[in-house]
Amino acid sequence: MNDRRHAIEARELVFSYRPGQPVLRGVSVACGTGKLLCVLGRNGSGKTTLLRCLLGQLAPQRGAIELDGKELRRHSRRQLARLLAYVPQFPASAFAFTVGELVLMGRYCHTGLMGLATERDRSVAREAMKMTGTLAFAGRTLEELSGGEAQCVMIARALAQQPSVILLDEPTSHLDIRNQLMIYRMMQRLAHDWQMAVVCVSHDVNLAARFADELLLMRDGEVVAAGPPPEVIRQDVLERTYDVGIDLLPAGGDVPIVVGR
Amino acid sequence: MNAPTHPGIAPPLSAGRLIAMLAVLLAAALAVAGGCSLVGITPLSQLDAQIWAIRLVRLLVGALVGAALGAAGTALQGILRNPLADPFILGISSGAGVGVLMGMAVSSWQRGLPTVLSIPAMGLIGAAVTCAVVYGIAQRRGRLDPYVLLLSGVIVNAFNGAIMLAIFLFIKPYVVSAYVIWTMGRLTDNVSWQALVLSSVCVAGGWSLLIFRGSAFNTLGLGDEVASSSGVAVNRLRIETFVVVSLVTAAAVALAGPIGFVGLIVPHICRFIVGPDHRRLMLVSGFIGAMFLMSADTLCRTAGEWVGMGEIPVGIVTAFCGGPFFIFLLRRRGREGWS
Amino acid sequence: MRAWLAGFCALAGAAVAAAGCGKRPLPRPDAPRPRLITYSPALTQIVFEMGLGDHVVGVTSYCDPPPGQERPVVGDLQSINRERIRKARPDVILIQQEAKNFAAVRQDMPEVRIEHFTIETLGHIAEALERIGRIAGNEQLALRRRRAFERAMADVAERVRGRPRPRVFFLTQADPPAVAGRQSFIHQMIELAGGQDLSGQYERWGQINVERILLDKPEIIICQAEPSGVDDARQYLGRLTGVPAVRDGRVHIVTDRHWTIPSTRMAELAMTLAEMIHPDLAGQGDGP
Repeated sequence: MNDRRHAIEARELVFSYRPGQPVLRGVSVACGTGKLLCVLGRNGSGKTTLLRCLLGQLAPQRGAIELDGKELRRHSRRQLARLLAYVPQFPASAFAFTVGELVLMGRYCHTGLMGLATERDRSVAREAMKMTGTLAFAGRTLEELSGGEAQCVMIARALAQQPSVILLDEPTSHLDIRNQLMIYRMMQRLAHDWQMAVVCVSHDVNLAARFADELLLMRDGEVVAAGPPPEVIRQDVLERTYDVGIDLLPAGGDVPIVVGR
Repeated sequence: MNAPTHPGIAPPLSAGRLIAMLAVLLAAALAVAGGCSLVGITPLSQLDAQIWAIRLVRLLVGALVGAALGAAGTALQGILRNPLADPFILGISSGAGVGVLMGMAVSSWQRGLPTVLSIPAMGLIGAAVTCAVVYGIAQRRGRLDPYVLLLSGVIVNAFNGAIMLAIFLFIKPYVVSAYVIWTMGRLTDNVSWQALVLSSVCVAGGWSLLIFRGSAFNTLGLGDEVASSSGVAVNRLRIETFVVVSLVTAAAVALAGPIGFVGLIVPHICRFIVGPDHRRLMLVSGFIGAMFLMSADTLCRTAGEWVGMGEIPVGIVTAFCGGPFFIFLLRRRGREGWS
Repeated sequence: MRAWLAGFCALAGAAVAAAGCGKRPLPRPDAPRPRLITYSPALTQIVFEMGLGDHVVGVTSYCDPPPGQERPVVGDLQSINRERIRKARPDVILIQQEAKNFAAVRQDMPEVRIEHFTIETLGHIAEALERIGRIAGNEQLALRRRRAFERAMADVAERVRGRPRPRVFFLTQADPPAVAGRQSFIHQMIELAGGQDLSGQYERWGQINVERILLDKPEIIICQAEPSGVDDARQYLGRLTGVPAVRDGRVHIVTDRHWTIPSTRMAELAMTLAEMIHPDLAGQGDGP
């Protein structure tokens, strides 16, 4: 990578919800433009906390977070929304908006008073829906869609913000294999074809290993290992991360399949 | 493919459409006001300028109070993502009630309270104190969680209720019945123009602010995290909405007493007509609230004589509307725009 | 935080207890016989006005004895506290409600007399005066008071006989306007005093629409108000310029509560009413 400035970078983050009980103990992470970074670790290892710090929703007690070289805190909320977008774990909307309306909501940081959408806003939303394959559902509500389709809608909404960085929190934890593959392929396309920095907290080691450009393994608020999958997917590293016996089975590609013992 | 159950994508909202809606709503409200001003116990043939003026003032008060409660209820249901929220759950009406009851009690123990401590003033003081307490309990390091806020309101309401029951022990029954009559709500034609201007400014200002927050309310429905990362200042929006709703509701309660159900029903009516988009909803809510209350009050003014009473307190009519309305809503779930 | 809460509760509890202690008047062991319990506000009022207050050993929570003359509360209109009644050791209980409600008391204390009164008209007040006097053992007082009351009423009727009856609207409050209704004493008093009571078109007390006053065009308006609310009442009614009473300046604001509470002063108030309704009567003859 030539450019020293990553799209999003965090250095030595320390964060505790309650004083004296740090959840993040000096975590550093960096994701470059055009890369898919997956964060792995046990439940409670601090993955979600890390994501929320990167989003700017939690303020770490120590450490710095930079978006394209500029400190996170220095951005206004609106500016931040134009750079950073978030996809939640479970797609949900309290109000029964249609898919088209939901995706348009991603334009909030670009629209003015009353959030009235211009033709440009609508075309960006259409593009986002085309990319995620949700244009056909534009008139339906979230409830009428399957889990995978709804998640695609949320990704489309995030894309409508036209961010440079997109953060996803375990987007496939409740989906079937087919949808899981679809989402991961989509994330890969977003990184490679659309040149975004995609950071995804994953619960599935194999999917992450297969699709990600870089992995970050966490345990108890610390980074166990970071780097491209071939370097990181090793038995000792994984056993340290998950605290369980690991077997690696050879697969066709350069990354083995991980199986718990 | 299954046919969509939703009526289809609503036409895109533009400034022109909003202005057209505004014009239609204004015309409708004026029409309702005009119609109501011609109805009453005085037959049309005997209607003179003085009676008409009295009716118009009362309708204006009704429009103000109705708009305030309608807008407040809609905003609150949006910000709390809860279809059962109404402006009084934040403790305004019980707080005003305690204030008013204490005022009535003290003035019955020693006949004659200074007029500066009138019933509306005591109500406002009580509402303000209660708001501060509800907020103080619910906030944590300056952040306001909607669930905690609701609970805090419920607790404070219950506590206020207990205080009132305790006061009942020490006062004469006729004071109790005077207080009960206050709780039924009443639109008056006897307001000073200062009070009218002040309330109009409060209500119009608060309502406008809430209209401009409509887009943010929409986004809030996706969850706090998604909304925040979309650019919505979630916590600030909650506090701001809470303050505006409290102000506007307190103005309404000071003018007319705690008229129930308006803040609860009107948002649902509006959602039924225009769907879940809060930009339209907030605009419509004030007008629907005004028309609703003006009509209810006209019924009160007129129907009383049919049942041998002079006048029915408006809170009774709105309460009687509440039950059947919600049954109707429940049967037609899904058209309204809650998931 | 918890310490604060506990302290607050303790303080609140102490305050309530103190208030409760201070309020309850002690039973009266040395009241002259017959010891009376007056179980309604009207009866309490009448007994005290007759000067027989010393005999009273128990009242209801709704009763309003004269200031400084509190009596133990032995119940209210919904529930009769047998224990407190027994503690008061009455000889006679004067009631206005149905006698069968007191069946349990009769069983408890068979030697106590229960005397039932109906007080719905001015005539009933006159009868009550005599009966109460007799119960108290003072026949002379009884007859004298009754005759005085009846004479006062007859006096009023005589003065207004043959005169035209102006339309009168009696309001128990100005804002919002409220009336006492057909079943009230004030209605009878107005009719006695030679007026035509427009608020009698309503059967009972309650709020009315201000338009009714404008429609009925009364020639005289009499309105009750608290002393602090007199100006507001006058101002509220003063706006109704279409009404003859307002135009001719015949709006009377009265502050005495006894206009609507049954009492022995009603004959006297009837005279005042007559003078309001027929102003030329004022200054003639005696009377307040």
